[in-house]
Amino acid sequence: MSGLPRVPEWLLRLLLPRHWRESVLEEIEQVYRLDVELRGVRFARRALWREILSVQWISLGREARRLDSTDQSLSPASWRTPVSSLLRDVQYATRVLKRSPGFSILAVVTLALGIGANTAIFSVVNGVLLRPLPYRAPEQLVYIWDRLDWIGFPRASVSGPQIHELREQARSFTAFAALRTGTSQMTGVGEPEQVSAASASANVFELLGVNAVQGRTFLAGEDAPGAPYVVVLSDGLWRRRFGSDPAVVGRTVNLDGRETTITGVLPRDFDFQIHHSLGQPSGAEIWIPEKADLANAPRGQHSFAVLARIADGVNFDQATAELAALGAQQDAEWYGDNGFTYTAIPVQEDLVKDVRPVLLLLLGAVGFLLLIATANIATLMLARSQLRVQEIAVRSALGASRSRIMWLTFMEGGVLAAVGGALGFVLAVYGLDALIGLAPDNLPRSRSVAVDGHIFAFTGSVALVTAVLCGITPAFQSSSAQRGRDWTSCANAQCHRSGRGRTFTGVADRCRTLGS
Amino acid sequence: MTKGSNLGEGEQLILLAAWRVGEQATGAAIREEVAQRIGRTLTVSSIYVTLMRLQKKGYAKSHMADPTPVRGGKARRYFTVTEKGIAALQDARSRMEQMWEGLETASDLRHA
Repeated sequence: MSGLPRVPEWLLRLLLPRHWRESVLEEIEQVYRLDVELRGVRFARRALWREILSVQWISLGREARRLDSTDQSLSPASWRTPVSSLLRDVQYATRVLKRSPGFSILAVVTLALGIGANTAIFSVVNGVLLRPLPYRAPEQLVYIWDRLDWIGFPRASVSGPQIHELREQARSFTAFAALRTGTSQMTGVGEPEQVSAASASANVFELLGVNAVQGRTFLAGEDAPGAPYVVVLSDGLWRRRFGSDPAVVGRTVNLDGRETTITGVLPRDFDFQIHHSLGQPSGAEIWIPEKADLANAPRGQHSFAVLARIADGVNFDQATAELAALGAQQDAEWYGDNGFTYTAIPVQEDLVKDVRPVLLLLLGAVGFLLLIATANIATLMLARSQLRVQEIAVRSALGASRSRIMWLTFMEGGVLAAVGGALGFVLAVYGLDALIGLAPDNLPRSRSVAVDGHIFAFTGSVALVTAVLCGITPAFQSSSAQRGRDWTSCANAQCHRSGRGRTFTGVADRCRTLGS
Repeated sequence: MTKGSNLGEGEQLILLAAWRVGEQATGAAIREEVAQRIGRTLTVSSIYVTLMRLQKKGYAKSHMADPTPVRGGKARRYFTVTEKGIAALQDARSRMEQMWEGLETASDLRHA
């Protein structure tokens, strides 16, 4: 065991030519030790990874091959690395596939379409369902709704006094913010315009963990009745109506007849969707403080969505249990024991609950499509392996082991899947915008849909599974060819074909003579 | 004019470092010599690639020594500059000196 970290050592063993492996590894270990001693562990690790990522390994293999070729005592395998052997097998599989261009193109196009469709749909699933919301500890964010089942409202907005009481009594939460949406008449900046507006408690941005990119968000107390009017702009509105004015903070704009000071601009990727008791969530172009006197608002006026953050160390079940207890008190006091309670739903779950089944169904459908395509390719490969029975028989007579023949046949499926996967990935990247364009307007989080490392990993995994499915059956089929039995058909078939075939048969005959 | 040794900069660096280190010229020692003298930390793979190329040209040779007499000690490969390698280095230097003749400093290039 060397003094190198385990993963780098393993990678180096893969990259180094066999004959040179131990001596080069010893050198690298010595260099690593020296670097640790003289320049510190951090430098040593960086240098080690630079060593691994260096493209010199390709040249090293080539130079080792050139040098070792003059040494008669070394076998040709001495300069091979596991990586170079794999590359050689890939080259062989590519050559075999090139011999049947029709089949290869058909297989690659089919797999590209299948893998591309899966990648594109998974990109949407990833962006909409899986990617965490871009807020601080998004798993702690919940929406709280009133549950008024007895009058047919299992999810009703919350009234001002209820929010006030939740703030006073609930200990499982660190903050509550009241939210509601509407429109606002904006004048004083070009043509008058109705803009979508969110009115929220002053703590909403602190609750979400979002800061302004210019200026500031709300200060505590700016939602008090009588506080000066302020507004925070979305990035989109700032660009569209204010021409990306860098000095926009401090300017005033007239909103619904009131002079309002712009205090800040939100980040470009801020796309918070405000939920409603009915209908789809909606975003806002301007954010203004909610100045309603919550404690003294009419109890029967259920007009707010409530965003809350669960306290650190409290889990969702504990938080909902406390809400149920508070709801039971309210039920007895205000709702005549009709079964009132609060219901809490994680923000992400609430946002995507309507589209989740559709997207998963779509992903399943394209997955099934790929499975059918893969089965078809595997069948075609199986048919091809029947045609290549002579070649396989000669290979095994020349000493190729069963596993080697299986591996070479498997590599053909691997090459098809790799090329199909690469093309599918490109198709998905370019087709994603079109796919989003086709999606209904109410698809939540559509701005989060993008190609990232997860998508790349997904495509790689799908291609790998496809390679296994395409290659495994033909690999078993080809390896089970009866060597002795196939000799006759092999020799006969080859000698009737061409001069090259006769030479081939001659080699086979000699091998058969030697083997007998 | 003959083509000559045609040693590249990296090859000259590594050959000179190997010559300076002497009998104990392993890849690691050559790397350290270059790092100490000119502050460049080469990768072991690049040193080996160059040394292999130099061996092929006959400018260097290598041999495996017995494992070091410590627990887990491994055999090491030592490199030596051949006479042909020394001649190639001298040739490379003399060519450079001929090119620099009459130019005392680098600034002369600008005023020439």
